[in-house]
Parts: sequence; C-alpha cells; structure tokens
Amino acid sequence: MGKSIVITSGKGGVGKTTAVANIGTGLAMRGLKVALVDTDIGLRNLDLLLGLENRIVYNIVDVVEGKCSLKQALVKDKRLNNLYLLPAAQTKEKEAVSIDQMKEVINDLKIEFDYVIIDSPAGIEHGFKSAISGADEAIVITTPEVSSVRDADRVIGFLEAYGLRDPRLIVNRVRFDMVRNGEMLGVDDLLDILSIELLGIIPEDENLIISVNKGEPIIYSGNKYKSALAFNLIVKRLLGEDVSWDELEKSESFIEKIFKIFKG
Amino acid sequence: MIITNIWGKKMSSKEIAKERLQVILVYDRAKIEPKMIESLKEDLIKAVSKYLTFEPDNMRIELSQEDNKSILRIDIPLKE
Repeated sequence: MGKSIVITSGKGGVGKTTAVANIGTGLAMRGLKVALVDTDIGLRNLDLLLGLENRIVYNIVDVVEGKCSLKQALVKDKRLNNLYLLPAAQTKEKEAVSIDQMKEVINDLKIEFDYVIIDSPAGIEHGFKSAISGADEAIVITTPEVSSVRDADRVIGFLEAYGLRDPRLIVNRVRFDMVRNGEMLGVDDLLDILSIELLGIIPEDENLIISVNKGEPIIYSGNKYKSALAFNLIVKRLLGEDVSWDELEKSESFIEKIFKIFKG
Repeated sequence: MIITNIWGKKMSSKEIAKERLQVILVYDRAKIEPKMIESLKEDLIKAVSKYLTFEPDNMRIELSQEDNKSILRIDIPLKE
C-alpha cells in the first residue's frame, strides 16, 4: 500500500502545481511508482506542467462516472514509465467528484503506486475538502508574503480539523538577499508564526518559468538550477533522508559569488 | 523603507510584516473581527464607568493565544 500526500495552500498562485509536478517527478526519478492527481476540476493545469496536455483521453470525472476504468484514465509520463497523471476534468463543475468518490479513487491508486501526490485547488471549499479527504499526509505551500501566510494558517487549521495532523511547510519564492536586508519574511519567521514543521525552501528562480513554458519539470535538470536543487532536497527529506538546511543558501551564495566574478 | 514602531525603534518591512501577521492570525484563529474588540472596548468603558473611576486611555484589551486557546485580557487601572 502506497502513501498519499496532498499539496495545498489556500491562496492560489503560490506554486502548488509546480511543486506537485517536481516532487512527483523527483520521486519517480528515484525509481518509485508515482501517480499525480489533479483535483482542480474546471481549472486543469498539472497536465501542462508535465507537457502531457495532448495525451489526455479520459479524466477523473469520467472515472467516477463509470465512463472508463481508472487505468484507462491514467496518462503515462513522456520520459518516465513509472510516473502517471490522473487529469482533472476541464469542463465539469467542482462538485463533480464527491468526497467519498475521491477517497475511493485515491485508495485504489495507493494499491498500485508507491506515492500518490494530490494537487489541491486553491480555496477552502468543496474541491479542497475532497482533495484532502484521501490524503495520509499534507504539505502546505506558501510564499513569504503576508496574504499567502495568512491563508496558509487557515489551511493548517482546516487540515488539523479534518484529522491531517502535522502538515509540513514548503516556502516558495524565497529571495535570500531580501531576507538578509530585512525586506522579506524569512523561513524562521514563518515557522515562528505558523508553528509547523519545515519540509523545504524553494528560492525564486526564473528558470522555473522557462521549465513551465516547455512543460518539463525543472527537477530533470538535476542540481543545475537552484530551484531544482531545492526540489531534490525536498524529495530526499520526504524519503526520510537527513538534509542540512544550509545547503541551499550556501549554494545560492556560491552561485551569486560566481556571478559577481563574471560581472567583474 | 524604514518605519518606526510605537517605541520609536526603527523597523524593517520584514518586521512590520511579521508583527501584522502575528496580530491578524490571533484574530483569524479566534474567528473574531478586530473591529469587534473596539466595540467591546467602548461598551466596557460605558459599563465600568457606572461603578468605578478610571482613565479610559489606560485601559488595555489584548487578544492572545496560548496552547491553542484564545485568551482575551482586559486591564483597567483604577484611579486612586
């Protein structure tokens, strides 16, 4: 029996889907059998980030309506044959999948896969509740902005109320230079405010935009880019490896130094 | 941008963000609107003034969180 993990945020646009695509790909690159589930019905996006948008035949709503089997709806990744996507429906209403149906789909996937990573929609309404219903664990993602942190706090409260204790935090789009200058909330500030365990830090990285343009998760680049390194560290930590928190900031300041040398 | 806090100490925008978040999250978690506390304060001043003498400006109302419980503290220093 595999493990299901929901990635959620409350606020939209903070990087949930990017995190799902990269963490899922990272786990699959380590040989694990991974299913990614897009539960954002009506606003499908995970397919685009994986570059699988042209391969979708069926979706999760077709599965629960009995129009196809779960196996038929799963889209195999382009590069990794142990990575699959269960797409959301693009033209249905949010309520098209009930909480019980979602639980059943996730449970069925857990039989077949080592990891089931669930991409939750923004907000705290029906779609969010059904996304978390089949999850064994939860990851909350936020940026260091006040609005996103406030929403993350709401989501943490909800998760705990629904029995998902001890969610872990990913802080996305961190600019270490601004944190050092006192112009951005640091990871330590966020942990102070939210009282939650840290899973990872992702630095702001323009290469992520390029990878989304291409539909290739950045984690494929290994540790070439700082965000890819960050996702690799998150995957390691998810698998229970002990990873130093300083590795990222050190690597960033190292890259900065090299830039400075080239710029003269 | 440098702004000073109520004690005149210089605050960075990061410290301002942290302080604002800490305050609003206490209200969010308690499911109370900050404005409600203001109204409560006004009513308290009216009610307490009927019985005791005090300086309304010295009255303090503070919502805080301890061990997942919301606590409302009201301090009313009385006049001698």
